[in-house]
Amino acid sequence: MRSRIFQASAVMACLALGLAACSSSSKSSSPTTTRTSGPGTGSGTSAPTGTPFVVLLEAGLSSTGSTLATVHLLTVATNAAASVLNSQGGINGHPVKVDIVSDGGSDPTTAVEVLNNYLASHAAPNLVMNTGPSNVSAAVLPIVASHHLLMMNNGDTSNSGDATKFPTNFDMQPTQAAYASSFTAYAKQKGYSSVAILWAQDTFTQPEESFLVSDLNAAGIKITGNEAVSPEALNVTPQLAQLKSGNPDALFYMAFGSIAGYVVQDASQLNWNLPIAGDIAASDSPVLSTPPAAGMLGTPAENNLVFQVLQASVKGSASQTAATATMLNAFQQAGGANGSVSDATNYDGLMMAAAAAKIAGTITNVNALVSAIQGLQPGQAATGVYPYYQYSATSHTPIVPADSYIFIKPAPIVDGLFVPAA
Amino acid sequence: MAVVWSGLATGSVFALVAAGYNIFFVASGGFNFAHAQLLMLGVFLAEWGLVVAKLPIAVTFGFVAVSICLVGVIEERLAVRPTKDLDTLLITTVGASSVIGGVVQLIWGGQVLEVPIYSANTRSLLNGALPIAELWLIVTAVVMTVLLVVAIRRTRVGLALLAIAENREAALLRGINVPLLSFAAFAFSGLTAGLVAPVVGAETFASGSLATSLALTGFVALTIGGFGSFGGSLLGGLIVGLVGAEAEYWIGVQYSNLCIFGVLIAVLLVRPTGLFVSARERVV
Repeated sequence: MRSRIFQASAVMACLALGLAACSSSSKSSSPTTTRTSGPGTGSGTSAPTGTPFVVLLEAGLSSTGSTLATVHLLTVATNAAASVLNSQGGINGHPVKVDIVSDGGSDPTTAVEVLNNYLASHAAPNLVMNTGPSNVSAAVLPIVASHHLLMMNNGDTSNSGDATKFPTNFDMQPTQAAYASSFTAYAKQKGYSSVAILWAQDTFTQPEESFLVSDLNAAGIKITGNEAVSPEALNVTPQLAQLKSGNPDALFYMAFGSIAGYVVQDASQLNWNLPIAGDIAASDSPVLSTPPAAGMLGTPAENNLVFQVLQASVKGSASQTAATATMLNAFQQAGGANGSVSDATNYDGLMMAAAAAKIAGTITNVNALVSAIQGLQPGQAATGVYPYYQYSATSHTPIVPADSYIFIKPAPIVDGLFVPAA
Repeated sequence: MAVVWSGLATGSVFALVAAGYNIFFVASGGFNFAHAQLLMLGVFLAEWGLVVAKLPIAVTFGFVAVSICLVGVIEERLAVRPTKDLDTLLITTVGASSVIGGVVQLIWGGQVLEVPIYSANTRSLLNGALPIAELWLIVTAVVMTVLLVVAIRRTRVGLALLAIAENREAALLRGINVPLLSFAAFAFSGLTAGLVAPVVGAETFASGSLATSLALTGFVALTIGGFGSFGGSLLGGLIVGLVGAEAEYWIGVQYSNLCIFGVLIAVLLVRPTGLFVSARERVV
């Protein structure tokens, strides 16, 4: 009997290990580059000609669920930016090389271990990037700071944008305040005097809800109800029924994935025919932007729905620049965008580092690169997702143009862009 | 009333998971902690059958039921039969749940997919007041429970299973093929998970986080109703669903789980074996 237990355990272990290996080996590449020079500590050493500009990308390649799609998109974005820069002669003549290491399933402990191992066996990279989320960034940022490495960070934390604490780090994601103010502008545009709010209790949405409440109050728009929903909920009928009793002009909701779908489905089942506006997480939820039978796009349940999108992610938008077109083309060549390009901010991060290197005339002087990024002006970096990221000497949390977001009727995503019906 | 319907429908899902736990418990005294993952896999297979393969609904039900039954059989061979005791069974079935969850993530990733059993114009009854997906969930849970109770109490196989649950050694001595019946019960629990999966998916969507939502709460429903009682599973599930929905409606989502676990503790204080199971004294 004991041997059978061992057999069973061995089979289960092999299956689990096999799955884990399949999950990561199909997408990761081990760093094999050994470099003889790297960025100094700000002393201004110059790299020999031909030395690559090394980007270390820590990616949660074994992540699960919705995180995996984001990891894939950010990895494609990084490779696409490197490809574009290399086709233009590299950064200050240095070819861009992307080293991808896996932090497992976006695990902070693994992320720290992997970064330390990399730094022990390789010359310091010119730029560190990641795929988030915040808990991984929080673990990695102290190491990045202690090694004085330039970082473009996709997992912003409560203090990662504080330039006094992490002077070499730049957050890539705008604060949720930007999304919230877009909601308020939309409410004013539509003339809503009262709204109800529904939000999923996750790390992305909670700050967004706080900003939205403040913004709406400041704008004098009455909040008739404010309900939270667990991310593990199987429906949102109780919350919608409660909000319905407040008789608002519109429902604003902030949720991703199945919850984003439940809101639309359950509102329809309640016969609640009021305008519904979902946030950018809702527009990232494939169930809303996929036609039947796999999704709800175009069904009567979505008749009252609009969702928030980045202007540049809408096909034919006037806000798309030549840099956006270059980015989209590069995405195609790098494997395609499996979602809206609005999340692909790693592309912009590498482009800003390249622009800063050009301005500073160095790829190794981190202090000079930091100053250059802080001083970037609109149009200096060939960013494709957002037209401009404004940083300052004290804040490395980006401010993006106020009109970056718009609300559109649900539309399918084709090659990274929302394609509204004609 | 919409909140009540919603609570009953959600509770029916928990009841179906609890019933799956119970089928194997009656036959073996142990728990298959991968049952919620089997149900989740069934929901994804239902989506695949209806959307990708474009199978007729009846064929999809059969395909999913047989597929999940087979997965259950494989799990039984690899993770249940080789185990020596119930402690080991706990570990191996939790391992199996990780493997099944991993397979779902590998194949479907983080997608949330609709399971379109009902067409757009048949989604609700009574002018929209009664969502058909919720009605069918409740009906499915009730019918499944009635069938299981009848099967356990009125058939020779069911009585044999009860005998196994009562005293495994005595059942063996009476000539009952205990290993075969335990295996059959496991396969049957997989079959039932597959049969109800499309109905569950129509309400919850196919989502990689579905099993997480179901596994623990299904166990709470089972505990409230009492281990081994199918009627108890149904009642426990409905109580959990209703309490959760009403708590969310009246006092907020942050108190929902508190209320559910409050009910659980209250039930266990009054009836430690659950609402439908009585403690029996034994002569020693």
